[in-house]
Amino acid sequence: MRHCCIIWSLIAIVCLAAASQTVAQSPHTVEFFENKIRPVLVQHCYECHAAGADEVGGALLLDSKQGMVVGGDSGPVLESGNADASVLVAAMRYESSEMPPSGKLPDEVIQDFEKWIAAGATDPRSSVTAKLPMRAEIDLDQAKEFWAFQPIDAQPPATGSKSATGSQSAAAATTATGRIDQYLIDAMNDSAVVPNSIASDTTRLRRLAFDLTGLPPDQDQLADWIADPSTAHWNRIVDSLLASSEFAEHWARHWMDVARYADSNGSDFNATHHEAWRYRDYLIRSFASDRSIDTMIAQQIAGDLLPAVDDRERHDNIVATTFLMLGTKMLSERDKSKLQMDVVDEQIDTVGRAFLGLTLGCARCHDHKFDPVPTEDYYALAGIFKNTVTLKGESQKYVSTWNRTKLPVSDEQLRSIERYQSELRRLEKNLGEAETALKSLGQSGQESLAGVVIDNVDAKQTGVWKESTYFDDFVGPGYVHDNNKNKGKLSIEFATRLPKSGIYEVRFAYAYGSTRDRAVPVTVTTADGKQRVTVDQRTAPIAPVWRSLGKFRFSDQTDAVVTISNAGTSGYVIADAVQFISQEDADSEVAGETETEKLAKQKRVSQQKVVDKWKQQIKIFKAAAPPKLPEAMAPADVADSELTDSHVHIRGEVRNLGDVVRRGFLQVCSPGDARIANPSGSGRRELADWLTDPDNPLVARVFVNRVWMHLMGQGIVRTVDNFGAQGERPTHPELLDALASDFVREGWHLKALVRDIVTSSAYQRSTDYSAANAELDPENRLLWRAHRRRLPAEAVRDTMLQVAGELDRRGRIEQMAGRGTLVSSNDANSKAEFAGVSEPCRSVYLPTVRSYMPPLLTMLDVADPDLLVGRRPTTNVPAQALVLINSPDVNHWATEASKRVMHSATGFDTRLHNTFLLTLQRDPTAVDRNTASQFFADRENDPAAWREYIAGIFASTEFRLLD
Amino acid sequence: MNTHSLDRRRFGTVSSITLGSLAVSAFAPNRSLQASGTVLRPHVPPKIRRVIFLFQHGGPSHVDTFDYKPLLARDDGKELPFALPPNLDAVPKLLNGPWKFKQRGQSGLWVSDLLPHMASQADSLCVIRSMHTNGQSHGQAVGMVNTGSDNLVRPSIGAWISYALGSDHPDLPAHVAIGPATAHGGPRNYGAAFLPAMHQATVVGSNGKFGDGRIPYLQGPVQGNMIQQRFDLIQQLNQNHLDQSGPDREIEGAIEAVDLAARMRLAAPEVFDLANESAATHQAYGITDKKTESYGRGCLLARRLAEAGVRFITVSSGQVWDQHSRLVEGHTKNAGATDLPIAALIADLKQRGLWDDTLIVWGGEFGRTPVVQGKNGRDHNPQGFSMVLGGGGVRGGFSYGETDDYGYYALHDRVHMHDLHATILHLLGIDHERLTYRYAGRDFRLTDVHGDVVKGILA
Repeated sequence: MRHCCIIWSLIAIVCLAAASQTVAQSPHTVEFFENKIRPVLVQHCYECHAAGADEVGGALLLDSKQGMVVGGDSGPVLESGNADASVLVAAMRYESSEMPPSGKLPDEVIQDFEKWIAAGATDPRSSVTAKLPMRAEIDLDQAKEFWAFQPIDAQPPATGSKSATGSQSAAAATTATGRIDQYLIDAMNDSAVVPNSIASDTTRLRRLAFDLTGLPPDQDQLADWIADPSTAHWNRIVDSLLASSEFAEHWARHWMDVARYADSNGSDFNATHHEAWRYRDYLIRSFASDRSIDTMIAQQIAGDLLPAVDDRERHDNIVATTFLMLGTKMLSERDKSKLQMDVVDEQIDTVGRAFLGLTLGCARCHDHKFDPVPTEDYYALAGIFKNTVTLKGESQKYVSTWNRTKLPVSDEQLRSIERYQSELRRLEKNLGEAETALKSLGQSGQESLAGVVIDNVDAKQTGVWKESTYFDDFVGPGYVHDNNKNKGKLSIEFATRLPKSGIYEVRFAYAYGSTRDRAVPVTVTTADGKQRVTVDQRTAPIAPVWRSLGKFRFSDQTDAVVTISNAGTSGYVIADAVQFISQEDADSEVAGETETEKLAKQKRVSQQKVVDKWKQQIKIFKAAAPPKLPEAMAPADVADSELTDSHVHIRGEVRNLGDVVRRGFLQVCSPGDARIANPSGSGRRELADWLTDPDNPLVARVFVNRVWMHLMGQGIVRTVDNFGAQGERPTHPELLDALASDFVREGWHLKALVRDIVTSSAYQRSTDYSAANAELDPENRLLWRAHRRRLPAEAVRDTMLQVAGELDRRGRIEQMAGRGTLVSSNDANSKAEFAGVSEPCRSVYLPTVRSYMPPLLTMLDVADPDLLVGRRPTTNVPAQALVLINSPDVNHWATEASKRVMHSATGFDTRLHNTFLLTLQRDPTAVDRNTASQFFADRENDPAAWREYIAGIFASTEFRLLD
Repeated sequence: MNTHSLDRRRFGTVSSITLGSLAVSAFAPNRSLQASGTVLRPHVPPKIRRVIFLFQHGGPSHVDTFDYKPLLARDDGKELPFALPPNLDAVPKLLNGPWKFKQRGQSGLWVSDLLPHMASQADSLCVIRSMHTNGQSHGQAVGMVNTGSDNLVRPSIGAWISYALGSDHPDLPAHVAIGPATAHGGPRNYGAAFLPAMHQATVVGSNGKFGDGRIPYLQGPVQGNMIQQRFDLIQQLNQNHLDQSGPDREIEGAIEAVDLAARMRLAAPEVFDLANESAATHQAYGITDKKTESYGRGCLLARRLAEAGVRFITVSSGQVWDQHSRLVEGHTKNAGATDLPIAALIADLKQRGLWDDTLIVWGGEFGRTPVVQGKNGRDHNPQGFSMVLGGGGVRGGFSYGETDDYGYYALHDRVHMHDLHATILHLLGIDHERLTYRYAGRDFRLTDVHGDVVKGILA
């Protein structure tokens, strides 16, 4: 088809060209239009831009005069008399959009269009155009009727008016917890569903401990609780769990999912987020201290613009804004204005879904198709973020990097850095002077290359050594290393025939470092046979590059050979050069050397020592440097002089600009026009105020719904990130509003909200199946039972560590320290290893490196750090079972756990009992005993059988689910 | 309820590992009815059952392989007579490569001497010479070719196909990536993004290296009879749990997954074991030659997987084609490593009767500039380049579209990467506009809001 088109269009062009020779029409005539313009439109444009098109492109019709004048998404396509200002011509020139998409038309054709428009765009076609199915304008007044945009309105529950099911008294309903139950019971009464009773004591405690801390209850707590399962005791346990640091860690991780937290950029250029951990620790600190959620929201949006009473608050304000920075970015995009709009889009999308439960990203190209978010609102928000510096500078050509903000430090810290820098300057000045003096003595300080030097380029390599110049102190053009591979297969031979027989000192140059091997085998072939020495390449050679291998006797009849091998090594092996220094030279006068030369040489040698001394001092001094001034990955406002509002970008295209929109928010949930009257800066501060306004209908609802989901298994609105028309409706709207209004009124405190929910009967119900209830409410929307839920990946892993007795509860900071700009290089051979799941800390402290997520966690549905994840997916795939069964880490933990169990007791029954307490926090049942005795058979004392048994539990459903 | 298409989904394999309803319970409310992971009746008659993407990462030069430009030879060293695109380090001086172009086979398709083995299959190749894509840098362009997006996180094409069609084998995944890069987006290029996680590729090797050629975690430290006993124990514990809980989709789903894992553990090694192939086959794929060994193994595994029912297989070269300098040296080496195995794969597919319902796709994330960069290299060129197709549903010995006289810009019958994706889906029987997934409030497609099927290349 296309091929035919090409031929036809060629014929058409040829015909047109012929026509232009015979009939030199004036461009304002109808003939000109008929001969030059209409055929091109028919040929190249009507397929998508005529009434008969399957789908009209860009809402633009070109089959009538009116269609061209009215235009489409980009407005009118021609401006009569001004070809250069006409969208049609720009598109044909491939300057804005590229039309027709199948290929640029010949220049002559484009020139015809230019002439035609310049001459007034004569168009004889009927002005009646087919009606486009125009999208209705968003009716904001009507849209505000939608439940989510209505003010939060807490109506008391009907207080058990219908029956006493659930044994809630009217009095109990006056407490928050009582109200929760009452709303749920009322709804169940309406549908004849009967709620389950409370779950067993062990099940309840396991559920509570995991939900609040991500870890199982400890053994003492479990024993105490079983002894006294009273409501008062329950409440005490709730309080103690809420006060634990594990609570803060676990709930910080929930928010990190929403904040698409990551320690690297991912994407095309996986740049290291060296400072992201500060944000994670800010979250942990905030949840530990129960910082109010409205404060946290404001800090995350505009912390850098907020007042602070002290440095600690200032510190947290800045670190919190890392939230805006964490999205994955196409840093190597060369079109920086496109990149900026992509970053702004990501920020709007994140703020929209995280706080408002709205998919604002949809309004980038057109009015939101489902929700009342006109494109103007999107660009009102975009203006705020365009005035925010997120990206700043480049880490290499074309590759952007982000803004960094210095964090407040104590005066003492500042002073110590000043002292350090001034001392360093002094040392470097001394070194500079010593080097100048050395230079003035001639021979440019190469004294150390005396004797016979063989560089690696002249050495004979066996196997493939890798060349490098990474460290700059080397002899010749570079050095080689074994890439820490092919152990035993690589060697390099430095051979020479020395001018005369005698004793020589053999010296070896290598670039030392901590990744090197400690005992590199070196063979020296001397006149007395082969001598073997080893070199610790982790330690420095004597200054500047050489290390002595010892003194050996060599003959002038046979080669002197030094062979470096990587046999038996376990670190990198480096080879740079070998030097032979005649000991006679060193001691006696070299023939022909004058007294002056000797003196000069002595001076050079002693001056070299001075240089070396300063170098050594600087190195020692730098090693003890005070910590660098801390900085955060944080945004800032642009300079006041650059503050500006954003244009609408038509169809989201970077260069296709519409009207300017004043900065502001969403009209549908604001009074008035939702524009900022006088922005104080970017507008982020005003945005923070708007989000945390007690009358914002969305933010509190969205937040309490997330908490409800984490504790109850499903949100009251099940689509936790989408409260719009395409999201689900709340199952219990009155309850949602009651929770939200209590939450706001009582100061936006997470702990109080969690306490209210977990002390309810609804939270503590059993997961037992009931056919009768399932018939009426198969999805358990009424919460007649507790949802059986997955443990998050982190909880599964942390518990295995705990069971193995290896869990280290201390936090970790700066987990990306030591990484370069990139977590791994972009070449084909790059390999990056990160503190993996075997590091025994809690999972929240492991590095979250995009593109390098540990398979154990990804298979257990950890949040994809590329995306905002309000609710983690739960998959059941073979790969999940396989990683739990075959991961060396899981097998290791099972082994360690089996040792603990075997040590804990001697009898089989007690060991089995202890295994159940450790792994499932309950006693084994008769069925469990039966399964175990079949499995163990005669292997009751076989450690391997215990390992297998515990590994089996680790991969079983009960271990990974909360009943 | 969806209508299952029996011709493409044997009902006997209904418990296949791709069974969407079990695997992705939590996604149920979000799933689009048009394509829910269970197979649909095809939108259009399918021409092929599977795709092998021979990804030449880094961007091979089209003007040195498949896009013959006599004027480039004539004007070697002269100034490019039109403007360069922005943000480029190339100098506007034309550079002709040393490889001679010849017309090949019956069809007379132009292929250069750089790829003599592929050239010998010219009558089976369909060259699109008018490709263009988004992204002047690797990251964006690699994202485009693999996911259809140069900036945002989107499911990979293999994930979409897995999602749409499932696997043709009861115990194997639908989507496999051999030697995928860890850079330029890494897993994102074979990932599922917001599609259910099961659709991300099962990975073998990395960065163009075949590695041990095994599925990770298929084997572990414990083996033999003992691991079988562990599988049995797990299922007994799960069954105890289910007995105690009553009907529960979570537990039932896990039991199913463990069962499938056990079967995959037994079935996959047979399929993945290249030792099952004859010495002659190893030789034909170049596995016996160090130069071609790694890519040869990848291609041979691809054929075995294709035969077994895997839907989308990528064999990645590793990021080796990026010759900003030393074009001749680099391209010679890369062609030396890949050309022979690819031709062997084509011949093998034909010989086994798989050619007519397999599509192979050869190409990089972009091409290279006809002008020189530095002394002897070429810069990135997303403005115009070639990709090569072959197999079912496409014309053989055929070239489509044109770049300008020097091969810089795609000029006639331009094919955007979205168009290529639309065409691949079309050949599989999928209308790219109807394969959608509801996420974050809207329906997403592989081709976003773009893409036209390139009808001109269809057989």
